[in-house]
Amino acid sequence: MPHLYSNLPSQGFCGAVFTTVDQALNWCRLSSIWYLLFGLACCAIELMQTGGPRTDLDRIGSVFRATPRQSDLMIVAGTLTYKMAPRLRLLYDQMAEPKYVIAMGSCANCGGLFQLSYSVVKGVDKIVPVDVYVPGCPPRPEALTYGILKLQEKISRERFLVGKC
Amino acid sequence: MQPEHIRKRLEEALGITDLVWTASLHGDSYLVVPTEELRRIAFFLKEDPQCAFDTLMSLSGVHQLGEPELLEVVYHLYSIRLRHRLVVKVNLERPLALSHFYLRMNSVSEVWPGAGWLEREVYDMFGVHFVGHKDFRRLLLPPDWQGHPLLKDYQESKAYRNISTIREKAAPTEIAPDDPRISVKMSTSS
Repeated sequence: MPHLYSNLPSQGFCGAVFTTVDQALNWCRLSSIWYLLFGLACCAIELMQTGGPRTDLDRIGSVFRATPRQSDLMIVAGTLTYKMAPRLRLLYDQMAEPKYVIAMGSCANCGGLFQLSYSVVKGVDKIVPVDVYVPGCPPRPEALTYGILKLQEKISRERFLVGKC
Repeated sequence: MQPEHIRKRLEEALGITDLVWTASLHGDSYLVVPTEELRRIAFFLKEDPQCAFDTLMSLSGVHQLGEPELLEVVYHLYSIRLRHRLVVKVNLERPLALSHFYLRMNSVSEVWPGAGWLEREVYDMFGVHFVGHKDFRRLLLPPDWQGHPLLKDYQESKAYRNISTIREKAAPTEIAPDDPRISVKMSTSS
């Protein structure tokens, strides 16, 4: 590829990258999705596995945080009861924008196995807005990783500075 | 000590005559005691050296439909020292017209301290009030919960703290005959 700027060092890389601010911001954002630990039931075991060395989430920049203030993503892993629901909303409100939610597993999606029970919320989307639904009971670590990759795709399409195109 | 001997000993020592002993072929045999005598009987069963029921293994509730409609509170007792066991039941009549707040009975949490949480759970699920409990409130459900869910006539409310409890039915997925997803499947199978 011919160099456009002859005054830049011409050995190999020309030292300039062209992009838009939105794309650069999105790239930063999607490469460091820190997620809030929200293990409520057995899905949390699979969430731990996903963060573990075999399905290493660190390699796509996702690490777990134990506080909502440092988190970009809340992975709701497990059965949400009505007693827990106000706490979930509180933790979601404490997260800084932009924030995302993954509903992991059938219980978080719609109540799952316990949807006929008196005490289980019929899906966390009744409490918080959900970006990605990961089906499964519980989902395998690969499925959750795929959910996070899908969320990365979603983040990469976001436009904050210019009108939506 | 056999359960039949325990009943006789209770009748002799406490002078209670209306104990009902039910032998069951399939499950545990049990002793039905009158509600107002429960605390005396519980103290006796624990303190008497021949009974010595030092452990309350379980305290649970049953809502029995039928005539009369009953709410049973079931106590499973065990003696670690003498290695025998006993099932004691208390029947509370629950007429349909009455509110569940009429269901009151004595607490045994002074006799067996482990009964505290179990009685709170029975209150949570069945609405039985235990008089004499030190810290009486719901155990599992949130404090502003309406109703007692293990009663047979429990009606789930429409919402809890503005969270809807309604389950949406999934809309039937409509796939057009010329949907590419279908044609891909058919082409691979043929």
